[in-house]
Amino acid sequence: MGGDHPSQECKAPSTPGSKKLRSLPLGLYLSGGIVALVFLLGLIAPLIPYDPAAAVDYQRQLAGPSWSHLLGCDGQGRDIALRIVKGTEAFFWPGILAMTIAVIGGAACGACAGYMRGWVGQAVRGLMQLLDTLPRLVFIVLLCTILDPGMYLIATTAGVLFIPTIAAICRRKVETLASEDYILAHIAHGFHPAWILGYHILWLQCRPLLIRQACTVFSYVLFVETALSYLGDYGVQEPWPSWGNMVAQTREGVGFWPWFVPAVMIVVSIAALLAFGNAIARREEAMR
Amino acid sequence: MSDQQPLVEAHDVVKRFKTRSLFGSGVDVCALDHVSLNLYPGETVALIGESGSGKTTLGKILLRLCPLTSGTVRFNGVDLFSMGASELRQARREFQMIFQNQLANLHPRLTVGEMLDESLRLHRPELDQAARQAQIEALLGEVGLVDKLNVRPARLSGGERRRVGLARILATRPKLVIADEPTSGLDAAIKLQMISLLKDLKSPETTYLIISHDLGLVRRIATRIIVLLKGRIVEDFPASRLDEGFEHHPYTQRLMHAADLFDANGDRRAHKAPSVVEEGFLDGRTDAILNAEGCVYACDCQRGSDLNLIHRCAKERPPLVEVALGHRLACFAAAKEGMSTPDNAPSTDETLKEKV
Repeated sequence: MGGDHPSQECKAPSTPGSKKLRSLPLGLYLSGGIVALVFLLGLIAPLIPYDPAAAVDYQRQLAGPSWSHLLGCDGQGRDIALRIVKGTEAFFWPGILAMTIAVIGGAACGACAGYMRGWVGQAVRGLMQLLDTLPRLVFIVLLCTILDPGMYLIATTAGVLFIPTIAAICRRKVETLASEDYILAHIAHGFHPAWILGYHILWLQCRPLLIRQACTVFSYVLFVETALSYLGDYGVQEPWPSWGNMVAQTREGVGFWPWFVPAVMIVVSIAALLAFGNAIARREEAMR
Repeated sequence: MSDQQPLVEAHDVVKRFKTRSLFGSGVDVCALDHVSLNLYPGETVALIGESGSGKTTLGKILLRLCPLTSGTVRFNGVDLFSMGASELRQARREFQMIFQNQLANLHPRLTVGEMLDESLRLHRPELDQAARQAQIEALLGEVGLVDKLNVRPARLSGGERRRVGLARILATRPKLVIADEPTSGLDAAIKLQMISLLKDLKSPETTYLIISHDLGLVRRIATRIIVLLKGRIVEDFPASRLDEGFEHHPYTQRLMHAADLFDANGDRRAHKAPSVVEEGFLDGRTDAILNAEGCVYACDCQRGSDLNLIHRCAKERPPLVEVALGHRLACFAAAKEGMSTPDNAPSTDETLKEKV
């Protein structure tokens, strides 16, 4: 309840001064910067050579931050900064994969379900409802126990499980416009229905929502990866680094630095991704 | 006029809607009941009638925007309902519709310029970027919105939105424009502006079908008036016959009285028909389930004290017959008092066949 109050205040009419202050997209820049940093790390990580066996050096076990090791070293003397950078590999491309699957699949299914009146639309709607009933994390863990566990399996499953959410958003938009005669008027003008659905509705109208959802899916993959890696059975396995299994080192009683920085990275990245998606979507929606 | 090849021929069009109820199949609502009409090149035809009389449905069917139950619609001699999908999209350039809902015509996230550009790219692919730009400016000049090039619909007023919609339609250089209530929701001054715009932008060969219950608009612009009542055409007459005291269908008379158009003696107040000019009369949605046998107007008709006639109107459907050149009428009473008798006049269905 307490959390609702400030946002309600924000909606109240404000003086021009505070409006100007709020229109400064601080949140967008801040979250955008963090997202850009994470993406940059994800892109350059594969280029950095890393041999998990050679990284071990018990001489510098649990060393604190220094100029040669910016964030210090962990229980096996491995450089924490390097492991954080390499750790982005664990979720970056899987995250992109899940995002792509969810957005493309969701937009296509949503457009079909909203536009097609016959059995095709009915079948798509049914399938979406069925998919929507699956609890995501439980289903992913279940699949991991049956199939060969790996980040790409996890990411594909997460992407597919997000399709109904995105499809529902697109479908609502299509149905609203259909009831406003918009689609009919543009068919009457001579446009191809695929153009109306793809460009007018999905690209122009649903884009902000899709961006928001894409960020949500990406952050979800990051969350699932760290959770599973933390638990240890299905995520990224030692000695390969992941933010999740770095945090898991707390169980070995390794002092402060080895788990603190990855934990902060997880929280900040997820928060920034969600905030960035929201900020972009809001700016797009406000564009009139 | 009638020796010309018609641009649109609708023959015996029937449209039924099935309403669904929770149990069972619901009621069959007949939106259009054996409607036949021809539109000739260059005409401005007004389609009038109360809400729910099937005006918009007829407009949509003439452009194949909704399926019909039976009948045929030909555009330029080609059967519209047997065209393939891509052939139909090609043909759509020739016949355009202005929808009543202005937001349906415009995309909220595109600027006026982008929207017109999109239409030109679709319908006039031969134009290059510069030519399109020039064309957009010319079109906006025609509707008087040159300064609104980079504005999105949310910032346009109702009248401006309509003018953008009109510009977009003119971009395709259509042969037929169907305008659904082009002046509804506009204030008097903007309404006049819209009417004169519609008039000015009409090229001699373009055909307009104006769906309206704004009789002021009809009066100013139409060359022919078609009156639709509960899915049937009850009268179809040249606009010139409005003034000349010809015999009209009782329903037409009631409409005109309500709109004050039949003030032959100049005294506007004195000639309102008693008890039929209540507020909102034209908006009164009447039950669309038809009295399939007799005249659709039989119950409300205040004509005829002749019992025989009353009996006939309730039992027998009056055919739409040509009572004079270009004047079709579906009424036993009016035709009896009028210039020719319906029994001797050829049925319109036959005349239609001759024209085809």
